[in-house]
Amino acid sequence: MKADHQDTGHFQKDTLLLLPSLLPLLLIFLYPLIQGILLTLHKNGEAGFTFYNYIQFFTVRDFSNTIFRTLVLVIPSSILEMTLAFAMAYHLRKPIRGKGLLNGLIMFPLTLGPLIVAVGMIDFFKPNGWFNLFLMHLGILHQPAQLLYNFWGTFISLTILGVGFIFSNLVGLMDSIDPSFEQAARSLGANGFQTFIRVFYPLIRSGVWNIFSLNVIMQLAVYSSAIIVGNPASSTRVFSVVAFEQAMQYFNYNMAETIAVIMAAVQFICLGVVHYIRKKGYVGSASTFK
Amino acid sequence: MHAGSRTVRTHRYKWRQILWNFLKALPFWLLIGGFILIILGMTVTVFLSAFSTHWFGTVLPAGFTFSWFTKAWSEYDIWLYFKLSLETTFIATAISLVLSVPGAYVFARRDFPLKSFLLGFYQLPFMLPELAYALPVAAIFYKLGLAETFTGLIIVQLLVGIPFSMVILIPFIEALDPRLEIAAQSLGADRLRMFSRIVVPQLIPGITASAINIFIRMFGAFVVILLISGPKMQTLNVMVFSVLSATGSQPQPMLDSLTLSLMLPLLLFTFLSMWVSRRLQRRVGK
Repeated sequence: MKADHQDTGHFQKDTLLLLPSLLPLLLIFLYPLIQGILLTLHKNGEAGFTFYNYIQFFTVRDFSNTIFRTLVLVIPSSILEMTLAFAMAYHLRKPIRGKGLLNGLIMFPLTLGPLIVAVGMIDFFKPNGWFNLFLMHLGILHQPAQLLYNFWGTFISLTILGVGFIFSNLVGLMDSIDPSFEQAARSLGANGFQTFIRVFYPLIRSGVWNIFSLNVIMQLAVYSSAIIVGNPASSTRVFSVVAFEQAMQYFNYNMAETIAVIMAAVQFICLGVVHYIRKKGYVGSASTFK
Repeated sequence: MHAGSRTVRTHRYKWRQILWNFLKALPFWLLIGGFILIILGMTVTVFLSAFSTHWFGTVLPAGFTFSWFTKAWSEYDIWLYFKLSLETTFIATAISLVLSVPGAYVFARRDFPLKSFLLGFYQLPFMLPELAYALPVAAIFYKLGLAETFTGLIIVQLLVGIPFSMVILIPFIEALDPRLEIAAQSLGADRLRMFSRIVVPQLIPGITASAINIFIRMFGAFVVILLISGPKMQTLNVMVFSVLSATGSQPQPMLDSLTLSLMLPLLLFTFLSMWVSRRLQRRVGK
């Protein structure tokens, strides 16, 4: 590896080994992507460049509202997921018996995927399901809570999946942090809270924001849970719902692709904001002395 | 006597410490326990409901039966879609591994111009919304007549398979000892021999791990397949989704039986991957 550094910058025959994986990807990913962007600049079934689709998106309420509806769903749930997953991962950092099993169970929804989680939710959160029976038995609720086929259905489904995703990433991140930093802080007289705020969090914050933005990317594309446990006609009418509707019911791939491109733009704006917040602190390795 | 009262005091102090630690940990345990209970509850209710005769407003179903499950299998041709999912996923996993092992090797061992740019390109499919490239892929496939075909399903799975196997395989190859390869070459092995006799055998654990991971990912792949699948050519989860989204048409135990058939292979693969990764760790530990 070190010996190869002298070759840097020269074309090597070995590089051709990249082609078997690169060519298919160019054909089924990059070419369609470029075609897709060109699609958005045509009206469905007509030739000639127009911005018709984009104008349509921002003037028709049913289209433009999807931006707001998706963000209202995704941003609060992402913040909640990060809080919950961080608390769990931070607590499970110590060596505890059965840690592997607990970790596995928390990440379990991620393996099942949104479809199965949605069906599980229908059984568990329905008005006479275990969740409501339990809370009514305890006397916390007097009437069953309506947690399905509305905003909260999709919100809960996103939260369950997001906690699994963020948790699985945080476990690796927290493992990579050298515990001697915290031991040093404690031995110098800092209490647990101070150690967390002054030492642990600054070391981990860059990674935490990275995971947060990956999670936002994933969740902006929410589709199946918005259909199955949400209310796709109004409160969970997110980007994907409208885009799929345009493509599969009206066969208007041009409009559908326009929605997808705007979704990508919203995603990049979100990433930019997260990146800006992230940059304002220490960014660097947290395992220097390991 | 004096000594005794001191031990009592330290005892009391110790107890207060234990109580304080317990109270401090309590909210965390409540959170973890609550979350796990919800997940287990969701999984168990799917199982119970799939095999229940009648379940309404009680803690447990009134009775158990296999009839919903068998009915779901016969009425929805689950076996057909199950086989189709397994076949396409299996073939696509094999193809993406064969295509990406050489590339991953080059990434791990060589430096070349635009390396980080290309690495970024392989990760681009994860960073963009899947719809942004899935929609034009579907449009192109319909034009070429590839949509709703077996080949089309396999090609589309490569969109998940190639980037994902690259990302998993590169660190595996980086962890191999390059001196073995240098030794093989100095003993006169040509590139192909060195690759097939030295690199690939060492990579088998890595390839197995990534094969299982890609398989799970592909088995759950959804967006592209939904767009290019037809009524006869679709994977199991797209079929289950289309039954589920046509709301209210089916009794709940039927939907749960469908979901269960989707869940069982995933559970199997998860245990398989856990078993493999544990064995791998043991091997590395040695």
